[in-house]
Amino acid sequence: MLVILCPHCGPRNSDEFSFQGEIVARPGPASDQETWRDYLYMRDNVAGWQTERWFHVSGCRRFLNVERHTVTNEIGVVTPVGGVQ
Amino acid sequence: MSRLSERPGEVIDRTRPMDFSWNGKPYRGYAGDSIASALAASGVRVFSRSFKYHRPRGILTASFHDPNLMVQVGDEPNVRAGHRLVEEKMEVSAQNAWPSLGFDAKGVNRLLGRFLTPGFYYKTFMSPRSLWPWYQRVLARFAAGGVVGVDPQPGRYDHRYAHPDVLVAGGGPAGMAAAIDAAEAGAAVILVEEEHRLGGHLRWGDSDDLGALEELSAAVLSHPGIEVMVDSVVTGRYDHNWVAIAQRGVEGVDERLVKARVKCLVVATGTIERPYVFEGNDLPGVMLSTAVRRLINLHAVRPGERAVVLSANGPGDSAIADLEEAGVEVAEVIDARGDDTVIKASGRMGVQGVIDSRGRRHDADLLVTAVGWTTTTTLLNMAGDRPMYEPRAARYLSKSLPYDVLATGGIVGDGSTDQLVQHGTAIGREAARRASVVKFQWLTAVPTGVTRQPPDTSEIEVPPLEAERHPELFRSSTHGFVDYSEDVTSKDLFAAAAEGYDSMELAKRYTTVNMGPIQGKLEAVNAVAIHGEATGSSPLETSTTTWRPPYAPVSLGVLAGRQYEPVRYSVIQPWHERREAKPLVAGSWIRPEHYGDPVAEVTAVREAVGIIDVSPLGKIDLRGRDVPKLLEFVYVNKWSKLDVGKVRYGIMCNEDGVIFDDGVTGRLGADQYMMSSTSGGAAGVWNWLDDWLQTGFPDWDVKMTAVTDGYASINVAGPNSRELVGRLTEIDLRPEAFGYMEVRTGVVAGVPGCFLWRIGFTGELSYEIHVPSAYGLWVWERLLEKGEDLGVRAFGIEAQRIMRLEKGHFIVGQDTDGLTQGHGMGVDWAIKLDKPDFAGKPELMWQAERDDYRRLAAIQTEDPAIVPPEASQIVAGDVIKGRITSSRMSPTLGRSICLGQVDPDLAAPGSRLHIRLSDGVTVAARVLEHHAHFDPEGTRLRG
Amino acid sequence: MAELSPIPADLAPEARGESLVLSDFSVVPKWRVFSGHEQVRPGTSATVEDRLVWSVSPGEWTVVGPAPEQDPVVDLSHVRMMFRLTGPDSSGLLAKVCALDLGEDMFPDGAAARTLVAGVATELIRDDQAGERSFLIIPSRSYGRYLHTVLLDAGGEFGLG
Ligand SMILES: [Zn+2]
Repeated sequence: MLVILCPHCGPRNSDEFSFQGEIVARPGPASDQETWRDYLYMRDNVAGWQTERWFHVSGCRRFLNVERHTVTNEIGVVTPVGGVQ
Repeated sequence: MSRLSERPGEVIDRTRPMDFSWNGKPYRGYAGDSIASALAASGVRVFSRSFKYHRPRGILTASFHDPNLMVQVGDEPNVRAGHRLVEEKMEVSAQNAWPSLGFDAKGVNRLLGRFLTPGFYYKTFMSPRSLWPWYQRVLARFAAGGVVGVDPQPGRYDHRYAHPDVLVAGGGPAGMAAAIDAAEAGAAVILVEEEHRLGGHLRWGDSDDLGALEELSAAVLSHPGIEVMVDSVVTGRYDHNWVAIAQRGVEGVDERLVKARVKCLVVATGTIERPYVFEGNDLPGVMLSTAVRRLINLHAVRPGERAVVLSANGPGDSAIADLEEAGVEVAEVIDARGDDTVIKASGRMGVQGVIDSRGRRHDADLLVTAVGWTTTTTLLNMAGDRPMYEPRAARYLSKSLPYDVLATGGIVGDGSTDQLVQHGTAIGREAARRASVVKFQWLTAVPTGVTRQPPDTSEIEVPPLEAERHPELFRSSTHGFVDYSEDVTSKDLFAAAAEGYDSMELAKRYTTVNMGPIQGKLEAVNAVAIHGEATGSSPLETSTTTWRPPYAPVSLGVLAGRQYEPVRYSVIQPWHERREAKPLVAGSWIRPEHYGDPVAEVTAVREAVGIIDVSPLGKIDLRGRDVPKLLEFVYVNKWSKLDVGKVRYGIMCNEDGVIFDDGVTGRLGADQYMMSSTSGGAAGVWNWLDDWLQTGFPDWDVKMTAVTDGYASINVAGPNSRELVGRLTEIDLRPEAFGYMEVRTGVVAGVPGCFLWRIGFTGELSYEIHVPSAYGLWVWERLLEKGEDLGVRAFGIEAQRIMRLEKGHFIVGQDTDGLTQGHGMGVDWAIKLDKPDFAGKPELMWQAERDDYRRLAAIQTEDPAIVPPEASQIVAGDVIKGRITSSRMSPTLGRSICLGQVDPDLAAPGSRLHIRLSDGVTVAARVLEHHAHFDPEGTRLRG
Repeated sequence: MAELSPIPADLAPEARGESLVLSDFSVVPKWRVFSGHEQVRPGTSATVEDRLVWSVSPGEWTVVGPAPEQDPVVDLSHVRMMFRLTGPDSSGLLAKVCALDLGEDMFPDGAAARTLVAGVATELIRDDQAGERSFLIIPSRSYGRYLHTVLLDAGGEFGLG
């Protein structure tokens, strides 16, 4: 059970969050199939630091960018995504 | 063995005798005795029969980790008799012995011993495969373990959370010192000790040790900042210092699982004494030095009459003095620091003689070994440490720990009590300091955090604690038992190596060494060393052992404990319960499936009027300038012109084009929309909208509030519904004033703030009334009261499902699956590919171009009496061409009706299909023109 | 037509322990507003005139009391239930059902959170009463019956009944 320091709520257990995976930008609706399928299915799956998206579904319900080391589970900086700060 | 006169450190209370039974015979011990010590004091020597060979086994470690002391207590199997305290009227019996410990019929395995080589079972009981179940039954009778009571147990198990600054695992001198000084530095401390008392090895030490113990434990127990848990065990350390503790001794509960988020964990779990491998090393009477010191000093039990001692260290030497003081004749001391060792212990039901490496035979009933220590690095491993073997000290030592984990005591090194306490003290202060660093970070992250001084950033200096030099002693020149629980010998490890199992991990699985209930705590180091000896490598230096949770076996009760399974109820639930509705578990909701007769419920709706509680329908209140933009994006159809008072049906697809929810959204006012979703999809839709709004379109002005629970939702359906609803509201219900797919707000049965929409899942004229939920039951009862003469009747989910199937309305998740893209449901009219963008658009565009997808179709079997079960395959020869997604006997049509997904070449109206039933029989069916089996023109609905 | 009851019928009776009281205040009016209380930061609560206001998420406030003047306002009175747990044992009880650190420095009087209580996402406010430790527990209504049962059960250790 990880601790994630939510910028709105403070330290919370990770079972309050929904893991959304790597952050992938949405290509335009006129994209070709390859681009679109990369967006849907292809991920980097790094062993190391990555910025990923978590949703604090049982807390403030805000989507967050979370730096996490995928091997050690160490958590770095957590920042809100867009919207109201 | 017998009870000694009073010992200075004894833990028994001689004024409180405890009468209990062992294998049906009466025995007496004292309060504070373990089951094993009480029996040993009465002369019991054999406690169990071994797993495979049914060899007699006696006390080895006299602790929790004694592999030979698994007993049955009442209907509880596998009780650790070296740990569990004896209680009045306790019924204790031996496991794995039949008909008795003295004469064990299964002991014939001993004679067959030479056949029970590693892999014996695999090789012998391999074929024919058809006999596997029979093999299993026969072998199970020979396997170890006690008897599990089949009756429900009355035990109470509890859970709680804790947030200590510092958690100290292990209550020996270093652990106690760490706890005291961490608490003195202001930390909130939990100290967990596996045994029943604090003190670690000090408990069986000399008068100086006992003095130090008294001083330390008094300081611990009186400190307000320390919560002490004895007879409790830290079973695991997980990410970010999430620590699980199985706590015993809590009043009113058998066990409690404490989940602690620890700011700094101090591991002070010490060492476990290692057995020595030689011929006869499992005979009752072969004991570790710590076992005899426990028996003599804690329980005042004389462990034997005449002893041989093999010692390689100071604590082993201290055992000699203890034995002499206890009146045991020490026949021979073999100093293992030199070249001497033990070759063999002999005897039938216990040690009778010992042969040493000079070939001398000593008469003895007790052989005490002190050949080394294994560090209990389990918690360190779980914290990411990879302890490495240090040959100079013949044990594993920690390599690197994360910031929030520290170690102290025997797991780090050796020293006098003072040195251990000094080390623990410094570690405790450093732990408190690191905890304050973590806490400061957390406090500054909560808005209400009490601001305090930034923590001290300078590390506390910790005095060194070196691991003493110790000879490497694993095995003598003879073969003996390595794993007592699994009956694995050093010979087996050599055999496995000879068969090519040169990797320890493979040899482990092949021989099952380390895989018994002790899980390698006693035997892992010996196993690795001996396997290395057999393969000619030195794996100790290169390998680390992976220790996984739990550290010690945990009862299923404490894991199950107080479990939370949230359930949701509609406010109308009390009425459903009074009418004995059959409960249906739908996600976390409990809903009425029917009230006894779903067919009659259907008839009532088709012929008169029915009401159904649809409160779980997802409802989201949407406000703000950009709501139309949101609707336009999340639904596949068009939303730009939705006038106040109108509702529209919409379908949502994921970005992969797969349908994930449907529902209607209505415009209640100029700036207020109400979106509904399926009951099961409500949470998913809410989260999905938040995702788009926050990560996709943060500039849009949309204010979203989930109000599902704010409204009790009642669907009033049937030809008499207009009349019934009209009796409860002033809202103009005439068709020209309130048409199909429209919404009105107003007062119903005196309740303000309701909204009603005209939609028709059942295919009948119907009004869905959404009532501020505290008044839901009130309105429900008024509907039944006012509609009595109209034939009103409550109906449940089953009747609704039948009617929607008659009408051909699909259910997302029932008639669709995780691959069903939008066009497959026959809703092409709703998918507006000319919109510039919406979720899933590209995929739906490509799907339309491919035109190769399965279609939803209404299907009727040629024989109207056959209802193909849902998920029946639609086949053409051996080729699967689709499946039945919904099927029922229609009370309205008096025949079987289905919805199914069918390949495009068979989806045209009139196509003849073949449906394979579960018994293999194939029945013929045909595809209808419309999805609706009943009233395809929708005249009833729109009336 | 029978008289409309002004009080929802499903209020739970008050339960008492030695140092603990669990009561049901679900009947109070509750509102969601999106502006007007910017001084009440997420994670905190405050009394603003005759209303209790708290926030657990940026840009959103829950108001208990008379209908607010802000526009838009969404009526949450029926969406939420509201229990109050008062007494020295209240944090001990909550420690059995909630993983959040409710200690004095992490969750002082005035703190507000949305967090899991017995598996349900619930709003939790530390709102001391005349100097006595007190928590408001505000679950979504359909979970209310379950959560009330859970609190009674967890309170057994403290004599709640
Ligand atoms: Zn949050």
